[in-house]
Amino acid sequence: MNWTFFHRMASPKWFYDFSGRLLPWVGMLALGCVVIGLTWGLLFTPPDYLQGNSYRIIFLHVPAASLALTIYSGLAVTAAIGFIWKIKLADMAVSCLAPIGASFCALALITGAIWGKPTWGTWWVWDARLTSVLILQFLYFGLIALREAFDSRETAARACAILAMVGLVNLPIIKFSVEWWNTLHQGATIRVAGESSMAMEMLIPLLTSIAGFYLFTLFVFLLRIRAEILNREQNTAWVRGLLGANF
Amino acid sequence: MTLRGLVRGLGCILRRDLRLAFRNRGDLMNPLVFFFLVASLFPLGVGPSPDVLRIIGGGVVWVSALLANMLALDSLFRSDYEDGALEQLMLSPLPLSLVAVTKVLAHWLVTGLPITLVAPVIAIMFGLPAEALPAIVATLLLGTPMLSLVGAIGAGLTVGLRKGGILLSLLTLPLYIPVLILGTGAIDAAANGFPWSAHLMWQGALLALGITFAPLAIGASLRVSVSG
Amino acid sequence: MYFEDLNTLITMGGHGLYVWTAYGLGLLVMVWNVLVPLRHRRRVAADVGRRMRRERAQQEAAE
Repeated sequence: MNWTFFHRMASPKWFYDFSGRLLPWVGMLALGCVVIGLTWGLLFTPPDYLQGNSYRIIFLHVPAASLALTIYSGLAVTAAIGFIWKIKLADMAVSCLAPIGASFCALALITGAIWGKPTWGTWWVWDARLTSVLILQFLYFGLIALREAFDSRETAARACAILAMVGLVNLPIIKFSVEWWNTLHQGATIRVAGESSMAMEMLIPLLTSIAGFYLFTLFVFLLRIRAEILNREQNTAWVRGLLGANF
Repeated sequence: MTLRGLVRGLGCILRRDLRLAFRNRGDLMNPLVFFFLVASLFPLGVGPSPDVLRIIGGGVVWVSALLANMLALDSLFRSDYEDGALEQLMLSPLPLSLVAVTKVLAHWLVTGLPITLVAPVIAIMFGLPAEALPAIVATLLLGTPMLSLVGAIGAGLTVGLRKGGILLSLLTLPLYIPVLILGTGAIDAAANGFPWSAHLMWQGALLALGITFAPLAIGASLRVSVSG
Repeated sequence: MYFEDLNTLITMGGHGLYVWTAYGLGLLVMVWNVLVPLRHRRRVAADVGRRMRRERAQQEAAE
C-alpha cells in the first residue's frame, strides 16, 4: 500500500490543483446526466396509472432524499477521519458538505410535500420516511449552528466532528424507531405507490437523474472546498501567487 | 491507579455534586416545577376533554420530562467550567469519561429521578388508566438516564459558549427522539392492555449502548471545550 | 415526447402547478449551490488582492 498518496491528498495545495483538473469533467458530466434524466422524466415517460403526472416529482425527490442521507454519512465519516488523524482538509470538507446536504434535505422535504398534496390529498403526512428526513434536517441545522457558534476554527472543527459522529451512530436508531413508531400508529400508513415494482421506462430516467445529482453534488462540493481552501490558506505563498497574478 | 482509588475518587465527585445540589434548593426544585408547568399547559391548550387528555397523556408526560431534562442540562458542567473546577478534574489521574459519567449520575439523581417519581401524579391528572402507571415509571426510569447521557454530550460541546442554551436544545432534542418513541409506545401499549416488555427491553438496550459509548463522547467534548 | 402540445405539457392533467413548482424549486437549489461557492471565491480573491496592494503601497512608501 502506498501511503504517500493519502498524505499528498490531505495537502490543500495538491488537492486544489488536482480538483481543478477534475472540475470541468465532473461539471459537464453532471449537467449532462441531470438534463437528460430530468427532461426524460418530465417529457418522455408515460404518466403513472395511479398518480397521473404528479409522480414526475419522483425524478427530483428521490435523488434529493438519497443525497441528504448519503451526504450526512459521508460528512460524519470524513469528520471522524479528520478528528482522529487531525487533517485540516477533512474539516474543510465537513464544513462544505453540511450546507449542501441541508439544501438537498430541504428540497426533499418540500418536493415531498408538493408531491403529497395531489397524491394523498394533504401537504404533509407523518409518514416514516418524511419524518426521518425532517429529523435529518434538524441534525444538519444543529451541525451548521454549532460551527457558527465557535470563534476558533480549530475548536469548531473538533466540536463538529464529535457531533457528526454522535449523529451517525444515532441515525440508524432514529430511522428504526421512527419506522416502528409509524407501524404502531395505524392511520398514517400510506405507502408511496409504485415503490415495489417500477416500470423500466421510469426506472432508467430515475437512475440517470440520481447519477446526475450525485455528480452535481461532487461538482458543487469541489467548487465549495476550493473556495474554502483559498480562504483558509490565504496567507500562504502559493495562494498569494495564484490570486496575486490578477492584481 | 488502583480500583479502590478510582472508586474513592469518583465517590468524592458524586458526594460533592450532590451536596452542591442540595445546598442550592432552587436548582433542585426548578426542573420539577417546570415539568409540572409544561404538563399543565397542555389541557389549557387542547381543552379539558377527558377523552383527548387520556390519548395525549403519555406523550405529554414524556415531552415534559424531555424538556425539563434538557433545560437542566445547561447547568451540568457550567459552574464547574466557570470556576475552573472542570480543569482541575481533567488534570486529576481519574479517567475523564468516568468523571463525566459520575457527574451525569449525580445530575440524574437530582433531576431525572424526582421527575420519574412524580410523573404518575401527572398521569392521574390526565386520566390515564392505572395499568399505564407502572409503564410510565419504568420507561422514565430507563429513559431519563439515557436523556442525561446523550444531553451531556451536547452540554459538554456548548459549555464554553456564552449563549449555549438554545443551541444545546437544537443539538440534543433530535437525538432524544428514539427514547421518546419507545417511552410513549410502552405507555400506549400498557394503557390499552397490551404487553409492553419489548419496549422496555429496547430501552434497556439503548441505555446499555449509551452507558458504553456516551462517556467517551462526553469526555471528548469536554476536552474540546476546555482546551479549545 | 409524451405530451402532444405545449398546453398539455404545462397543465399536466391538472398536476402542472405541483410538478412545475417542484422543478422550479429544484432548479433554485441547484443554482444556489453553484452561486454560493463562486461568490465566496470572488470575495476571498478580492480580500487577498486588496491586502497585497496595501502591502505593496506600504513597501513603496517605506522606500
